Amino acid sequence: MKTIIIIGFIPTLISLLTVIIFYKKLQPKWLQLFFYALVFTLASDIVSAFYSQYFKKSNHFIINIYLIVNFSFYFLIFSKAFETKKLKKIIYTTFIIYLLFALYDIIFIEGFYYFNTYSYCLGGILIVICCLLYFMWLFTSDRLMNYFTIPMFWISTGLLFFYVGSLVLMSLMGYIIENHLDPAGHIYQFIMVTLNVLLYGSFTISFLCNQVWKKTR
Amino acid sequence: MEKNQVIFAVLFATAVLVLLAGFLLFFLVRYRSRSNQYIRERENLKKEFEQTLLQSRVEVQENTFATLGQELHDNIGQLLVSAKALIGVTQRNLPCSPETLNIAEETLGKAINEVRSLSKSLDKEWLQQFDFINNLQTEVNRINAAKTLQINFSHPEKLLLQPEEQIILFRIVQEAIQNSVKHSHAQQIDISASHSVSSLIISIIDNGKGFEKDLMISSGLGLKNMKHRTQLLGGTIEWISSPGNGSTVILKLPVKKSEP
Repeated sequence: MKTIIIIGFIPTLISLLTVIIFYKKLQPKWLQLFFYALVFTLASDIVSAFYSQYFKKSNHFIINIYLIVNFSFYFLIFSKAFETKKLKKIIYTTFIIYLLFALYDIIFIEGFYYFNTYSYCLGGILIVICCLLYFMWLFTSDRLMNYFTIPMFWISTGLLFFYVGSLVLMSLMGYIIENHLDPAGHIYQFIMVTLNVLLYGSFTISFLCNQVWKKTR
Repeated sequence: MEKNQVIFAVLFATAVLVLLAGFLLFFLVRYRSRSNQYIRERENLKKEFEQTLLQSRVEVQENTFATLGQELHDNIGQLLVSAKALIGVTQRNLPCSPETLNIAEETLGKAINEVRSLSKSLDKEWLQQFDFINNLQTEVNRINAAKTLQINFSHPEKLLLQPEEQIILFRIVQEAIQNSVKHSHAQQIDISASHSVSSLIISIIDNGKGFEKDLMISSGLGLKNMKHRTQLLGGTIEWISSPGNGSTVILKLPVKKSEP
């Protein structure tokens, strides 16, 4: 179990190290925000893992806080990546809808100390929509571009795989916990570690392709 | 539903969704590759069209130059010859020809020569008979003969350019010389042509009054024309100038070793 948790940290750690190494060279500049997001992710993962291990209590409240910040960060990234005002407006609206629903979920539906399945699912679906919007914008553009050298292409790819892949598991999380379908958490760990490798692997590529991207601009 | 069945359903649904996302992305990337190819082809066509447009513009200019040269030679040239002949008749009829009439006759002779060389340099057929070096050397000699300024021309034995390319290059250099004489009021111009591994480099340096770069671009010194002609040759042109420091024009043209 501990080995799986440690393996789960490795992609995040590699991504963080990459962003630290290329921090000053990252273009566009908003990519530097990933440094803070990755530090926050790693800190939340470590704190929540140790909290449940040592206090033998549910760490869901830490995850709930992490998810709100994390989703907000991704909406911020999309708002920076989109160049048209119309698409930026869509992202802002999506962010407000998510934030209001997440607060409503905490206050009136699932509570602070129980994993917020509903707001995770809504956030995940909205991020998937944002990714599809980005791809639509990218693939219908009139400009000649090599998208493999565009950081946001890799970021969107990682996010698309992660949220599409985790939606089924997370939407059934309450059911799985209540019925003790995955008591040791092996299935959860297997799916999340695999998706984390895809997500943070894509993030790492986005930081590395940055230099090539700058040249093509 | 059994526990294992639920877990299997979760794993299966997750795998299917991730694969679907992968397929979607794959098809989008493939679609985009085709669009990229289409965009590339469209840009190439646009480039070709612009090249053809430039070529025809230059051809029209060459024809205009040729007509102008012909007119200079046939009309103004003939009028000057007639005037000179009349002066000659008057000189012969007078017992003692006045000094002013002699000077007028001499000046007319010079004007006739100037018009002849000018019409020659505008004539396309004449240009096609000689190469760039010969043409420019003649032009330099003509200007140097007037003794108002000194042009130094250094060059290789021959240029690795096609004859029609040499005509275009000649027009660019002509325009640069004209700018140095008319606008820069230069006393000396150094023209140098040299070959590097894959390009021909031509520099025209004058000791005139120089220009502000922004002013140069907006002043319509035929720079647009020079730029267009250079583009037609697939090369680059650069102007370096500042007030009081003269001006430099640097031309870089691609050359193939097999070219004459």
